[in-house]
Amino acid sequence: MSNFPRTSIGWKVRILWGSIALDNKAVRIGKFLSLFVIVAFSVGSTIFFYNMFSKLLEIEGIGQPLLLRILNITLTTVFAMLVVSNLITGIATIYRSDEISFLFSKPVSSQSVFISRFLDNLVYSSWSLAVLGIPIIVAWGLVYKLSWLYILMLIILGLLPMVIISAEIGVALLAGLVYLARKTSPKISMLFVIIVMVASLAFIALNRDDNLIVQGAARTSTVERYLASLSQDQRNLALPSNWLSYALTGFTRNDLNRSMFFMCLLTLTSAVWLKWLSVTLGVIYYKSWRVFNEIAGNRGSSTQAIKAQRFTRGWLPNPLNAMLRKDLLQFGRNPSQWGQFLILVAFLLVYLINLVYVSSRLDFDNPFWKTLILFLNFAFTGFILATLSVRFVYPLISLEGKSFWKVRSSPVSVNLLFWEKFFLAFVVFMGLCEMIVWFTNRVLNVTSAMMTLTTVGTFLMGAALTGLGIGMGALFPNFKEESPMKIASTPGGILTVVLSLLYVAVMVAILAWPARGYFIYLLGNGPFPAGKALIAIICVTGVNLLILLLPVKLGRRSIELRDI
Amino acid sequence: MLSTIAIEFNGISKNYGNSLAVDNLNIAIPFGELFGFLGPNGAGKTTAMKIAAGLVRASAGNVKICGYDVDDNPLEAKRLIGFVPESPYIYESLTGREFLHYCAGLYRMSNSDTIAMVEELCEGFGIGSWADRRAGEYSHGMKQRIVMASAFLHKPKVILIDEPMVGLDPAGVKLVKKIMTDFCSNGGTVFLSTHTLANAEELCDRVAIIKSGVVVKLENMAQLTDGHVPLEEVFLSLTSEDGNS
Repeated sequence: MSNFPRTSIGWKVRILWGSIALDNKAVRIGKFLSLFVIVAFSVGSTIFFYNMFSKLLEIEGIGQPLLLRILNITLTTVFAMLVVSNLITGIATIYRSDEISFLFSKPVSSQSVFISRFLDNLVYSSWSLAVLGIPIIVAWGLVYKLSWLYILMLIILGLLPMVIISAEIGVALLAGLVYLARKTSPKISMLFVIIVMVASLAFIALNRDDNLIVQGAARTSTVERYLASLSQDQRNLALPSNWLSYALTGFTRNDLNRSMFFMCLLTLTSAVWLKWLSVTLGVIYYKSWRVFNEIAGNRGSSTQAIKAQRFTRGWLPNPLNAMLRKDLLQFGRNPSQWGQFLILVAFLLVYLINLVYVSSRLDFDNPFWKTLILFLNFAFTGFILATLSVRFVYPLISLEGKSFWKVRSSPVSVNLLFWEKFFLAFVVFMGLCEMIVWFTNRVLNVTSAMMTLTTVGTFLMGAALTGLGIGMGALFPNFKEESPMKIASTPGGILTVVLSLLYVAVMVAILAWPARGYFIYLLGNGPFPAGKALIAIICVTGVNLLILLLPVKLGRRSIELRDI
Repeated sequence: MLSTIAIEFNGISKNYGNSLAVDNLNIAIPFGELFGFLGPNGAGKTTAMKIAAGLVRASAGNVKICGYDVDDNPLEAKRLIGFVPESPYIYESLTGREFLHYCAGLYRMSNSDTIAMVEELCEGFGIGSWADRRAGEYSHGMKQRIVMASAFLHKPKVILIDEPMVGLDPAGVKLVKKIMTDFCSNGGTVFLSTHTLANAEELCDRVAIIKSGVVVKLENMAQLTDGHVPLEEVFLSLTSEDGNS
């Protein structure tokens, strides 16, 4: 293999540096501010995980095994997300990028181009999750007082190879998808992948042994059984995420041989698979890329004039109707968009199945458990909204792409453009999240007061997070990038993730305060918390107005002043 | 608002950092005129064009379209403009026909008007046979035709057109020339930016030559060429590094 991939990476670093040098002062300050927030987020996450791990370890008997279970679940989730992320981003990076046709016009081998695209895809798909993964490893090391050398080894020889392996699996799946699409159609192959993923998720959710719940765990009489179940090491050796988990626990149990073994296993597997991919997929890459573009170019859509009329005929007035129709059509015609949306919906279904499973085993007459699960569920809904907002709402302005000139040269105000995007995202995501809240509240059998609180809270969170996503997307637009996943992975996207998660945490904290007082009142141990509720309502209104309106105002101004 | 001037640049300047792209541009173009805006690469033609279309904000001065200030009354001004950019980017996942219907929606055109105009333009621009294929499959010339059709869709009074002949086949070039001259004969105004001097010489009533952001000549075609000097010669003498203005 030539040294082309290395040269290619070198050029990319130079281009990145050059683009920073060309930016005006305000944009440069914005980029460095984003970098600062990301570093601050990583440091904050490390402190958060350190405190969480320390607190868990303080619980005698149950702490350590529980921490191990949480670690396994977190690593497995991150691993699964990385595979999906690489598969989806790979469509744009490995098959659709304009750079590929340029590279294939040069005397560069198919293998070299493949490796260079693979590395590009790896960076785009994984760097944001690495921002989360590194703090977990560092916090783990600090809690168990490992030396910095070991922590560094765990990151370089443990986390990094796991990330590379997930990218290799994602890209291999994508290549299979392209093969399938050639034999059938892109829609059928995407549906096939979704069905396989949903089935796998459902299988894992319903059959896994490493969940945190055992029957009757909430009752003191069964705690022994719960402890016994937690102590059993049931990690599946087929999952690379568990290899990292073994490497981490090896250090903490002074079993260095085990840690070294699993780190070597991860490193060697990632290297061998990379070599294998380069000699198999790399060799057929040119053919596979050509096939993909033939399929993409041969969509055979024949829109009759009558269908095109949906842009000028609808329930809503124009130009709102035309803009909405256009956005919906673009979403429906991009398998990577609706495909990932369906995968996220599948994740939600698995979550709901789990909740039903948990509710059938826990004692929900206990107000403590009820409040805890209610707020965990509320926080989770907020987390989903934050994820959806960053992945689907943040790129909405950027997805206007190079065709943005048409909207900006038309008699359409930026204000209308913003509210069209807001309306579209808000209706879809609110519908989804309110259904989750309603369903989970029914499963948990909560009081009508709590049902109202969480329903209104979710509504407000949906509005604020949609506004935040659109506003931030307009403040940091990228009209040159076509992949929404890549747009969401830019520093502006990560900054939006951080702000969204902070907002969700603040909302949950504010609402939990009067809710706790309410349950104390229900138990007859205190007065009705009217004062707390009033203060909470004022705080929630203020925070939501700020998060909804400020980013939209700043983003709108930024677009109005922007030269197209 | 009634005005006898279709396009009016009043002291327009645009700077990007320390670099001045357009410097104190003053041009008034009446209705019915086909005005040529000529200049070498990087002279500031596209920037001036985008300022008039409301895509770039001027650092100083203002542009009026049929009396409407593009900055103060952008929606009124844009309603009267049809803009054709140098690079004809259109949404790749839409078909050509869908793109035209989408544009009609942006201009609040009625469904019946849209159907009639789309059919007329599809026939006029020769795009009827492939209008229902997705834009991702189009060549540069096909996209150019769709974008031009979209500029004429809402019956504008002013057409701003940047390098219209790039990527068009000879039949397309002939077609576009005819459409532009017909448009001006019916009272419309075309502001044409180009460095294809033969087309400018053939089509334009008046011409401005811009160099390094400054208009170095603004005359009607007959005066500029003195009746017999080829435009190319005049252009090169005005825009060469040691040329005087």
